[in-house]
Amino acid sequence: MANRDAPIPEFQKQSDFVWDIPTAYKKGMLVPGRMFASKQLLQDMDRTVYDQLANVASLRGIQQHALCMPDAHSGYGFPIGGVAAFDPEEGIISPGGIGFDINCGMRLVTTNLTYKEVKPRLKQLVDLLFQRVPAGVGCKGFVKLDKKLFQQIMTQGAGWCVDNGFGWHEDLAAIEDNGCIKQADPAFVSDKAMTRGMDQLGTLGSGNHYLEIQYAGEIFDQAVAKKLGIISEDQICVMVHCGSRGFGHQIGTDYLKIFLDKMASYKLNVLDPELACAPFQSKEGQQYYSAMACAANMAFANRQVILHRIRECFSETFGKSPEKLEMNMVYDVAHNIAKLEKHTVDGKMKEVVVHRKGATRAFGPGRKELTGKFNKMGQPVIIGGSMETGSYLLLGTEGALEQTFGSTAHGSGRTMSRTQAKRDFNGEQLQKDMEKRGIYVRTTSYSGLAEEAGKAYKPISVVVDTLERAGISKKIVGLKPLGNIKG
Amino acid sequence: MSYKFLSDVAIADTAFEATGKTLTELFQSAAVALITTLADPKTVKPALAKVIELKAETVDKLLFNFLEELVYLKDTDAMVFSKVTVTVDEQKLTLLATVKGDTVKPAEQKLGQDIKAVTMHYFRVEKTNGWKAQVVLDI
Repeated sequence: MANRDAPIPEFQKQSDFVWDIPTAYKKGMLVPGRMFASKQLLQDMDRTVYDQLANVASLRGIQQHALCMPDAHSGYGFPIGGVAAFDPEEGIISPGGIGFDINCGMRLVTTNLTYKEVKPRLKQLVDLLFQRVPAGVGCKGFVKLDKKLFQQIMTQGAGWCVDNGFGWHEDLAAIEDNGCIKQADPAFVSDKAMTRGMDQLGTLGSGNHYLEIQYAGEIFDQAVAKKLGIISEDQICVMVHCGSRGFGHQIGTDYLKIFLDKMASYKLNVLDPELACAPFQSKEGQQYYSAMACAANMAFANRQVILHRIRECFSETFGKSPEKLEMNMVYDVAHNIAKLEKHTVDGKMKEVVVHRKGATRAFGPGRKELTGKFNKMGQPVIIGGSMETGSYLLLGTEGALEQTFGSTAHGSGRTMSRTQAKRDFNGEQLQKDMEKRGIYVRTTSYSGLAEEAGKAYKPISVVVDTLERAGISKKIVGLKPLGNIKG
Repeated sequence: MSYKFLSDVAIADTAFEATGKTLTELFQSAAVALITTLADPKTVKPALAKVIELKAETVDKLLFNFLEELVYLKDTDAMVFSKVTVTVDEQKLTLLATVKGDTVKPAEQKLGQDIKAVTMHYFRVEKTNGWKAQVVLDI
């Protein structure tokens, strides 16, 4: 069980932005913990993170370090902002290292509209999006599916959407794994997961999920930004943050229970039940890996269908086709997922099962997984900030491949609990205050809005600067919020 | 019989503590905490009714599975809840619950947060003078 009053470790400083927690910190640690953070971020980190990272470092087959990104905060089992790689033969796979919301992720889309063109019609646009993109508790999608079609989505992901009229063929080239993870097998998905998720394709959900109209407030690298379709600092973009909805949540729950029951038979003992795991090569481990891929593909499809709706709404509002509005994909990344990837471990390339929970793949140039223009430039990374402060478009680096199994942060990271935020902020007032500052927000839940107040999060610019200075990402564009839809 | 939300247990999620003199009261309190997270029950009409019957090997599993069942109904029936009435047989570790509520209607209901999952994080059921449980919900 994680310890909220965990002692502060005697950090071993590797650089101004890299700090190690030695294995002596907690009994059972097989490798050190390694935190990417500025000194201030490290000092402000909630203490449970140290303990949770130590628990991850004690899991069988872990390689090199249990890693923690600067946006980290405590989660269930693994910390959010955690990265851990396991040997595929000796090591484990753990749903707690991925999260219940499998392939929760980010998608960024350009337009050729400017701030000045959108501002006068912002309310009309946000209201239309709020009407057309279902959000909040219990929301249902508009794509009617039966079990057979839903199984096709599980195996085909975003490609299914494009084949069925929800998107453009070129969208797929700008999605991690082209929007389809191959090992998906619906045979290992429960009926309960299917019935829970079948009606939810094209829905945002709630919590910290959102759809945001943004402008490119600050371009740090003009040449790379241009290659990604962002050419001016008043250009309008659209960002989406959501995942696999009830479908993925149920798969996570199903396998958590299966693994808890099976762990003893594999002589696995974990320090927190949310770290429940199975050997990667075991029957249950492989079944979860296949089911997880089904949920990941559903999430890619979910964001694809939402993009289709966004294009329709922009087209209707501005009287031009989405093609004329140049509503092109920048990229789509997963930040809750496990993947079999090759990385350098102790000087040798080997396959490892990389768990990223609230962490984003950040491959530098040359990786075979990156196709087309991304192979030369590196992989775009989308970091979603709070609705009040802004977000970032980054690029993966060689440094990430060397230091973090090709990983980086996923957001700004919370500093305040949801319950506390509801006590400190009033949703209706926050909405009015934000409107005065030029950010128009629609929500299905005012208490939910209060929970997402900007002050409940770490300062994103500090998080992103840390990523850049640690060499694991490169800043390309800073995006500022204009309109937001919260579930 | 009561529940309270805890502000210092989970940062990105919702944690609560539920108590009851009996297991039935404990389960009742925990269910109310969960349905209140989804929507203010006072704003939800009792238009639909669902029955949940469960059996488990341990009290912990019975509570976990019961709360998980409510989360499942929320998604499969796009439902938020007005009232839960539950009876637990402490000897047999069985449960019978009636759940009332309505499909989601944002115009008339005061909605809260969607719940992704009931987690095992800090999950515990304890026999005190009565019963006490702590639950973290993934939001």
